[in-house]
Amino acid sequence: MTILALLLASAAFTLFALATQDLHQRFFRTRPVRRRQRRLRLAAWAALLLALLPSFAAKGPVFGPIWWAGLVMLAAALVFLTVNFWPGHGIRSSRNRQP
Amino acid sequence: MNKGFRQSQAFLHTWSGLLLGWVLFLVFVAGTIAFYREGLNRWMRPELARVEQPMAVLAGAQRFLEHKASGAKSWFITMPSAAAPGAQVFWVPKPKPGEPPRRRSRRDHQALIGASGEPVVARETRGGDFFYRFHFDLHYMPVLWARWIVGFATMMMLVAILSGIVTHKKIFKDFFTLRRGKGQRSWLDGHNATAVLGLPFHLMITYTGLVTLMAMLMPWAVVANYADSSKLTDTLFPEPHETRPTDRPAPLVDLTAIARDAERRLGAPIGYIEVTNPGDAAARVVVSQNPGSMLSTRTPRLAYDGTSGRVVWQSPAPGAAAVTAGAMIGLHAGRFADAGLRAIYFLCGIAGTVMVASGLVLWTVKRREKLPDPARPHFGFRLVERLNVAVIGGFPLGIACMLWANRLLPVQMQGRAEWEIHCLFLAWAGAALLALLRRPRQVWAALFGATGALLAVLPFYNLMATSHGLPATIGRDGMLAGIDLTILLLGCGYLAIAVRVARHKPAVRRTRPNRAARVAEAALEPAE
Amino acid sequence: MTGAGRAAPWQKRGDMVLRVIAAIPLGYAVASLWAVALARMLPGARSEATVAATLLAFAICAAAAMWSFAARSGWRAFWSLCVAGAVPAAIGWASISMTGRL
Repeated sequence: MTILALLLASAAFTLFALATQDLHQRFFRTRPVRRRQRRLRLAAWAALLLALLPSFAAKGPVFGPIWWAGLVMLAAALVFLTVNFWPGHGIRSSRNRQP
Repeated sequence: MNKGFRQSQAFLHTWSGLLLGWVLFLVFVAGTIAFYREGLNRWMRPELARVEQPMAVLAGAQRFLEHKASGAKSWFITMPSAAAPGAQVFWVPKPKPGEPPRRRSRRDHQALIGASGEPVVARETRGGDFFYRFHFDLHYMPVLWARWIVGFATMMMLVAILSGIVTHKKIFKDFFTLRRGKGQRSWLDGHNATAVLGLPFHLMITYTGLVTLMAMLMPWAVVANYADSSKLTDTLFPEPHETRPTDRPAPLVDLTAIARDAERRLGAPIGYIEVTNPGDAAARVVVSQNPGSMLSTRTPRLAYDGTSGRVVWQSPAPGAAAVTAGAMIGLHAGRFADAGLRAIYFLCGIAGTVMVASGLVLWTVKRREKLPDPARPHFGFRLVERLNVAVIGGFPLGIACMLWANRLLPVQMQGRAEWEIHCLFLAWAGAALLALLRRPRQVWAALFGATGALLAVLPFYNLMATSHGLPATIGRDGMLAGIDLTILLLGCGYLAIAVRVARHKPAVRRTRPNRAARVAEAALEPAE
Repeated sequence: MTGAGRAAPWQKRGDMVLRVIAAIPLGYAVASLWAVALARMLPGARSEATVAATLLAFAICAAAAMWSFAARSGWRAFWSLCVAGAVPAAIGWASISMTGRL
């Protein structure tokens, strides 16, 4: 259950990442249009809120939200590190294309 | 958002963060370590066996106290969990008639009952409790001063966080941004990342930190409602009515029986046992639920008659505000957290520490680029730069030295516990002196390198010199193994940073002052 | 930070001093006075109102500090916080005079 919550939160942040200009470009080779950005973000928020359910199921009504917050922060950090340190894939936006 | 508003908050953020940032760094480092205070209590006493049967320890504690403190006014026993090194007991001796009440010296009236039920024979050390105490009581000063300093710094931290949120223009857009190798912008991205990713934690820990000190920092609501504040204490911390000793001796009921009954009634493990007038007919045993078993630290309590073992009182349910305050303190201390959540707490604490440190460094990085004459920075810049090195570089080195002192100081040494801590501050003072006298870049590398080396080697020392090295603890004692591994990882991390700092080549600056002046200055500059 | 770029240096310094006084001692005083007023005015048991008021006071203190720097001028920050403190002071004083303390 906790793993499920972590996976959902990680999916959420992955979607948030894909909704940004630079990372969408990196994976899909095109810059996202507004509608796509909005959809991705909506899906991301949905995944984030969905992660509350397994958290509640695993830890109860008092500790569930606390675990959710902790897993959300952990997921955000994991996605952040992956996006920035995956070998050979440093963020290279068109803005910072200087040596 | 109004540009003027954002700018004003940016200014506030910088100064609110900077002025006591070094205090905040100390608080974050010590507080983060304190999440594993019980584990460290054990780690720093490698002679001790792990507690397997808490009830056996409790029985041993009762035997010990009946032998050593039979005529005492009251006994206090902390129930051991598997994490703790044993049952901490202390007692208040009966005041002799005619003798003026004097401040009892805790040291003579306390003991640690170990896994075997006997008082432990182990090296004297403050253990992990030192880090817990330090993060609000500091050291070498009256606790009242320390708590006001830490309280004030915490309010500045809260203001820094809130103004930081307001100022951060593209919190969502730049959520994943990390530009590397770009000087000031890299530092900014690092500071933003550690701040934003851990934002729920940072906000929570700061606000709840203020709440833990609220009785001292904000007593005015109490003053407004109560002419006699003990009435409030009685409501918030209810006690069963007091019993006077009858001077008729009667054997104290078996505490393990009471403990088991309490656990059954409460549906949770117990935390503390308080015995008043032990050995008297009017003996009373008050049992509190373990604060780690629920969110609020204000746990339910049961009072038992000490001779018959009957329940005579139960604490009334606290009101909503009291529960909220208790929950906030509980969130701050994190006693309820299991292994997984505790690890998350620890990682968030590290993020907070890096946030504070990177903010302090960012201030110098930003201003270095704007210095009219980089060879002669103004006093404020030099002060901040040197303080950064002295505190961010020196304090962790002090801690590493303290851990080594815990291993190397002779076990029979007098005042050993205090000397472990003196070692911390002596090492830190040495580092600070270095920071004052030598160039920052060299000292950063030296301090981080020394810290990394000391930490990385420590688990190997444990392996060779104690019976609790990694091969012995992995799979068998998760806490001790985890601590050794974390120390090893942190050591490697510090070494990596030291190498990075040593290799860093500052970007060549385009000169702004005129050529002739620069040549003259270079001629006067002392050779390094 | 807001403020006319053409202000004389002593004016700028005075502005900053006013803001710092507003943020720190005055901000704490305002938060404390609101703690008093809330403790008196919040419904329920007195112990509950006391705890609730104390918990809220820290947020007020932080807000006062932020306002001290967001306000258009140091003087505005100062007098507006004085007003913000006078109101709960009056409420608290009236309440304590009328019904006293426990």
